[in-house]
Amino acid sequence: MAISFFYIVFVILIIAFVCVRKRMHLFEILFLWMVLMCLEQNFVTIVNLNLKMVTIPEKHDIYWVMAAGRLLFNPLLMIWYVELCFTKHRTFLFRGIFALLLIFLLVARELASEHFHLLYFTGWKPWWSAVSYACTISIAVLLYKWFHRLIGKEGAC
Amino acid sequence: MLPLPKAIDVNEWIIVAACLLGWGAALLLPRRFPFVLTVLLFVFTLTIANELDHVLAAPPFDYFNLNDHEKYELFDAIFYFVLYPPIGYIFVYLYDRWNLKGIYVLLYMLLWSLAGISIEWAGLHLQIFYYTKWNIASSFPVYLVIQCLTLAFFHFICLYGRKTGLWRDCRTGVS
Repeated sequence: MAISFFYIVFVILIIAFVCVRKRMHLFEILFLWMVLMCLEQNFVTIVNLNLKMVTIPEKHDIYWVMAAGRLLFNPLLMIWYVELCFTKHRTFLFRGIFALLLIFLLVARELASEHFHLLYFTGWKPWWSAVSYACTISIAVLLYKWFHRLIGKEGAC
Repeated sequence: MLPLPKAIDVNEWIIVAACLLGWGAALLLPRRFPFVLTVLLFVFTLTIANELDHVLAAPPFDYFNLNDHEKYELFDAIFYFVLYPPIGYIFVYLYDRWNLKGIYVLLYMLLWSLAGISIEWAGLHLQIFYYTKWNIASSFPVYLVIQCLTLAFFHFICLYGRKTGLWRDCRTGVS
């Protein structure tokens, strides 16, 4: 039941992302998505496998829903944040509020996963997730700016 | 966080040598693609190799291990982040340079897959890989699928880049 719920949310989010008109170049989206996937995957491997601070039950259905969460849900929300806040002029307050909202959503997904027994925190604190997401969002914004400038030099934007 | 190797022995030195060789070859090749395309190819190769290896090597599948530890160690990260990207770049570079078409594309991919299998076989003997539930024959279709995806990605990027006016003709090496 919980797994189906997560999949429904992911699919709705992906459809919404595809349908909504975006200002970002497709290459910027692809670039950010791939980099964020790598960052997430490596971070999660270190936390789960090396530090053993988060345990995911060794069941295939749970594994895949958690993988979909970190490879689709998290990068997609972060890219949406960059799209909303950095493709046109926004105030610092606007960006800050949206960043907090995004971090809240990302941490809420983790807490919901724990509530539904899809993962177990064994020494991990939810606020550490908030800090790690804040770092990941900062990296995403910096990389977006760098890649946007690069594409601009080659004449697409 | 990332454990260091138990000892710097043959598997670590092989990884360092392969990284130097891969980057040396990629840097020595004359520039052929726009920089944006090169960056995307590097990141795509890194992502696909990284994701696939993490899925296959980590629990619950746990098909194989890399290097000295069962954990994710420093030289595993070097393996993914430093070694794979230039190899993917060279694969696409030569494909584009030789302007392969038709059956030659399949032959080219088969040759790269055979090379991959040979290197993996050497890696097994040099203690870079340890199979738990994997076997070397299973790697062959994986290499083929990854190469197909890489070439499909390359063509898509070229097509979309041309469509949006980012570059005019990436298949002939405009840069």
